Amino acid sequence: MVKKTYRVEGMHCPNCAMNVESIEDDLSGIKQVSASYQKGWMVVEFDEAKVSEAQILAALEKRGYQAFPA
Amino acid sequence: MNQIIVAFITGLTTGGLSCLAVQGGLLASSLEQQLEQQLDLQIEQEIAARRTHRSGKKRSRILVHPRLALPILLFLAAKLAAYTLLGFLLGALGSVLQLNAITRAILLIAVGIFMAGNALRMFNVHPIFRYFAVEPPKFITRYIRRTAKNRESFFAPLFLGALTVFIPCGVTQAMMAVAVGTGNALQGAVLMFAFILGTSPVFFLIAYLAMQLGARMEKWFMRFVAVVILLLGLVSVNSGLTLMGSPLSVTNMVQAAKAAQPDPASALVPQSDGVTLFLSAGNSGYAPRVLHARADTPITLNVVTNRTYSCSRAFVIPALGVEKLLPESGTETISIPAQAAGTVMRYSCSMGMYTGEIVFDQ
Repeated sequence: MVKKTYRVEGMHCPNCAMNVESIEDDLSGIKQVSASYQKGWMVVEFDEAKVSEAQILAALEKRGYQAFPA
Repeated sequence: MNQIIVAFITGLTTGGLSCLAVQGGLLASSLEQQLEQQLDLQIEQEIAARRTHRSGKKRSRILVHPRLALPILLFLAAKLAAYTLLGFLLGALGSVLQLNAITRAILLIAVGIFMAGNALRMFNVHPIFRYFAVEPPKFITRYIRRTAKNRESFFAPLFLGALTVFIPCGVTQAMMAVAVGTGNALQGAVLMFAFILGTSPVFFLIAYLAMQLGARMEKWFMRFVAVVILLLGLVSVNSGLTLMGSPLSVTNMVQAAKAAQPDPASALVPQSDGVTLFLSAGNSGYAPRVLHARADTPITLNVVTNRTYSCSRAFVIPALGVEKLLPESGTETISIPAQAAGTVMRYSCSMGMYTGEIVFDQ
């Protein structure tokens, strides 16, 4: 299990943070996503054996946001 | 029972508009989040549609049906619940919970800064303004996401609706005073419930119609909302400054500019002689706007009301710490100690919407 922080672009209200966290439901290998609209980042705790970083970023893009490793 | 019916009708007629002027900004703030959320959803659907039609086929435009009635209703329901609870406490605990003029002024300024900050956030002026947004605690968002399985955050309208309890308008304050007078927790609660229920239709209609229009105009409307929030924020700050008796408030500056002009409404009350002053507190403010008093002499100020139901009944002189709830019809006498020549003493309604001043110069 690893924990990585990403800078997220495209969030423009507190509800966006909730949308970003919804990728937890999209990918089974993610344990937890904690996003902050105010800080503009998210912390993802995931199992590298089950899900890749590329899949996480793609899931996020599908929801209209872009993430970059912090 | 009569008192409760009167409270409902007062809310329906004067309370709704008066409260919207003071609390409309909080409602706009909560709806603004809902609008932004709908735009997000629309963008996501458009992205999905683009993927589906990637082969060059004609792209269809997907419109999201606006669901704005729910957040407005939640805002109003939270407001109703909060004021009912306040009525319960006021009835039970009496005047202990009443806020004084300076506390209200500070609160108004704080709310104004909050709203202006939110408007600047919407304009993307600087990331620092993101801290003005109400971000619900993680356990709540997680709970909403996992149990409700929808994208609508109900926290902001609920929270902001409950917050209105801290910024009551003049009519509401008058009703709060009545709730204290009941001396009974249950009666106080029912009275405030009836009053706030009365104010709700006006709140709902204006907000819903405005927001329906906005959903069609999409992003442009977001900018319009930001401008409205910014203006309401500045109005709130200005009301706070007025309530503090600050000469820096726009209201008091305009007042100073108008001071030289004759005021026809002043004919409604007896002429002041410099020692005994007469002031009319009407439904549209105070007259005359400027009273002249003799310096270095104790003054008697008579504030006269005649079927007055507006905010002006909650009369405040910040410099003296005077706060009076005037009768609907009658005269309230206030003793003012001797003041030095050149002193300008400002008075206003308790929300700083109506103002005037006493100049000690004779």
